[in-house]
Amino acid sequence: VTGDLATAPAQADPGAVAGPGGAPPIIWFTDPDGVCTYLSDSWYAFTGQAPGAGLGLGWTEAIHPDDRAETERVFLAANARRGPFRSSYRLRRRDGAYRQALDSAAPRFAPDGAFLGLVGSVLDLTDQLATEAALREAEARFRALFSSIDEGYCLCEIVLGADGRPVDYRFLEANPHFAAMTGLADATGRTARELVPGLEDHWVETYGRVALGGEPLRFEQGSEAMGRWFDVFATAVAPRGRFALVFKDVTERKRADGALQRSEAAERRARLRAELLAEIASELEAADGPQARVRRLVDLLVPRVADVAAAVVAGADGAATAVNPADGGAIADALRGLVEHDAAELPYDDATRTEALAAVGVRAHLALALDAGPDERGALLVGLTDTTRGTYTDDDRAFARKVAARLGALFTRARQREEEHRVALRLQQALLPDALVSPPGVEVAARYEAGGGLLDVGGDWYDTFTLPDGCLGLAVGDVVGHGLEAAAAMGRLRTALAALAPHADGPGRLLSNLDAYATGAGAADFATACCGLLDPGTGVLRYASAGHPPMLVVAPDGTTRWLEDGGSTPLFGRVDPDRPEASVTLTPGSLLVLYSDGLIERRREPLGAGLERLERAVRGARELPVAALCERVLDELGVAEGRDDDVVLLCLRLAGPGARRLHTTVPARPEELGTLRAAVRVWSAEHGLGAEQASDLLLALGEACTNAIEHAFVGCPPGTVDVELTLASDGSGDVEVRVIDSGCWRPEVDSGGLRGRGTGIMRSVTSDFTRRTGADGTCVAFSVPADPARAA
Amino acid sequence: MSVPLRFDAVRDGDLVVARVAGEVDLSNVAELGRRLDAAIDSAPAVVVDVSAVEYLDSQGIRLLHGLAQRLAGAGVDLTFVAPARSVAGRVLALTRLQDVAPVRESLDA
Repeated sequence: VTGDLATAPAQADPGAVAGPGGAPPIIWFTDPDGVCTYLSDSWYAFTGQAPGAGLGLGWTEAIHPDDRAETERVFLAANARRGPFRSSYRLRRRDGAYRQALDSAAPRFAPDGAFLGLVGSVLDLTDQLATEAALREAEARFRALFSSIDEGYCLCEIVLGADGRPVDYRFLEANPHFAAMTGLADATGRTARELVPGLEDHWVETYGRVALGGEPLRFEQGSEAMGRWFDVFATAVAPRGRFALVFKDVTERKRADGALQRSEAAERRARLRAELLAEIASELEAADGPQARVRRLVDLLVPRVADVAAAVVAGADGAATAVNPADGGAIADALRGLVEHDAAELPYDDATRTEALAAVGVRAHLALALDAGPDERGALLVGLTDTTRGTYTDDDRAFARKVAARLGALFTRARQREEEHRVALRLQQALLPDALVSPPGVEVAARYEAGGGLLDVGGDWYDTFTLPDGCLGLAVGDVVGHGLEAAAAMGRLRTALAALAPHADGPGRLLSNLDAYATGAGAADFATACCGLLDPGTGVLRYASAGHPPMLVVAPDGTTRWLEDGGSTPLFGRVDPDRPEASVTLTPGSLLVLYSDGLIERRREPLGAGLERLERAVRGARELPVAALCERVLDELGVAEGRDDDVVLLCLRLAGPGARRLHTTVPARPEELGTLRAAVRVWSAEHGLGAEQASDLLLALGEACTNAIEHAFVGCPPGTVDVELTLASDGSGDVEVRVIDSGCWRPEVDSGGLRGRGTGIMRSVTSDFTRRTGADGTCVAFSVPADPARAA
Repeated sequence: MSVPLRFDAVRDGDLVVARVAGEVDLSNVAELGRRLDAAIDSAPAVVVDVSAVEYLDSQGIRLLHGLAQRLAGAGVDLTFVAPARSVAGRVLALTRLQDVAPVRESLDA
């Protein structure tokens, strides 16, 4: 018996040998007559039978009475036929509870073939069966679920060929949705190849891999026949060789995705095109002139919407054409020819154009007329040469039409704006004084700089004027706004100020009077202004400011002072009858600087910084003649650089005592002659001119000025006369004189008679007399010799 | 600033004595001409004293030359008073006014 034991368990189903509840397995032996000769201790431990009580047929006592007879019958039958025994019965555990046991045995034979009896084992299957029952229940629920949900489900079994490789698969189960989704009705029991005769091999291979231990697969699969898309999940299920497929119909989602992608692409394209359109608009706004605009246009269209592009705008002042590429090759020549023809005459028909373009390698094109306004015609041609870029679609055509329509409006507006700018600039220049006046002993220069942008013709102004009492009037102002209206308002204010000045007692009252004017029709909404009245003889400056930044005084030694008194509100249509004034005495050689805020204002910078910069610049340049000083200050304050606002700068220097040079600019009016003589007398006295020389100087200078006043401005607006006296540098005491007018002289009048007498007088009291008339006026120069006594 | 033009005229029987002072230039020469004409009226003898003129330019000279020629044509006896060292005297000498009418050093002479 012992010797048999070694082989007995091996012959029993070893996989089934697992003691109940993890306990040691129960093993038993019987003899050829079916008498139990051995029961392992584990039997007694499980059943609680007394040791040895199970031998013989004693073990059946532990079986549930209802199962006992059947078990004995099967057991005896197995012995009788010397075959295997298998029985499932309820076995009483030692605690009295019946457990579901599986008893199985195999026959044992001696080497000579003699039947030796059975060897068997007993397993407690209670827990396992409970699990299986639960599983069966769960599976039923699972299947019920699958048959009710929207997903298709099928269970398949791989069919292996003779060589053990998958050749087909058979549907074992399928839910109704599977049939609905796949169109495979009554699939159960049939193979895929039966159902789908043309089934591609890769399906069998794929599912074979999954079923035979591969990883689960998830993929999207389209069915052309059904026009639907499925999300497919394939996973192996037990036993080996089986797999389950779960199908989800994703056609709608797929369609939505596609639509989304298409709409996203369309949206992206629409956005890019909107950006391009906006870019075209802003770039063309910034471009100066038709040529610059068409150039920018074609450069923006390539490469974004075309490989080649040409545009032309033809107006009254000629045509502007631009081509990209601009290299002048065959394509450029062809494009230029076509687009210029289209703009100038009846456009070519499409076939002609297509042929001409095909000849130079343009595969597709769009040709459009640019509606650039009543007096301008234009044409736009874009083309594709790159074979990878497809061709133009209806969508592209619509976009191109939109561009063309927009361009027409853009060109028209740009041209109007440029015209307005030109007009405003002309107006501004016309409204600013032609020349400055500076009484003797005062040196004056001014600069006006228009803003950098097209629309930046502003309302800044300056003016100088002389008053009957010999004072010099100075004014700088700033009308808020840009363009024509500001320029016009500036002109009115400037004129009004100069016209009102002789009738006002002082600068404060003058600004009050200007208020009254400014409230009238057509006046500015808002303006700042400052004005001053300077007595050149005493250096007393009376000044007032209506909201304008303060004037600056720089003494010859560099000390500075801001004239901050005499301030009142800006001019904005409310009459202030009591605008204050203040006064200051300028020491000889002092500079007085008036300006508009464009000179000192910078973005992102406090106003004080600009004032300091101005102060520094003027102090540093105070030795220069005033015209050069203006230049230097504008340079140093960066006025040449990009700037929004226009700028006015007016500089004045009160001559110091004993200046070798007297420079003055007087209006070409007879009333100015006396003032001029007074200054020349003072200057002559300062330089110790002899009585005769002083008298001759007065006489000759008077003749020169009178000539200019009388003859230089016949047929043109009255201007100014520039007078310059210089004490000769050779120490001779001679005085060199230059009188320059900006007028348009009539022909030489020195033809005898009374009219020519002035020139005769000049010639008789001077030497080195010259008169030169150029395009910009006439210059008379002469020298007045010192008295003989003094020279000696 | 400028020295204003001053003018006065005294009629003593047939003689009109007109005195001009200050500065004569383009700005006031027309005014001076009107005043002279009004003062002279139709007097047979006229003395124009320009001794106190501080400035006299070609406009004034033209006026005086014109006056001299017109009065000479009308048979009026015209005399200018302008010291040679005076402003007007120098200018009148330069323009040879003495060729048209006598120019005296003083009113008393």
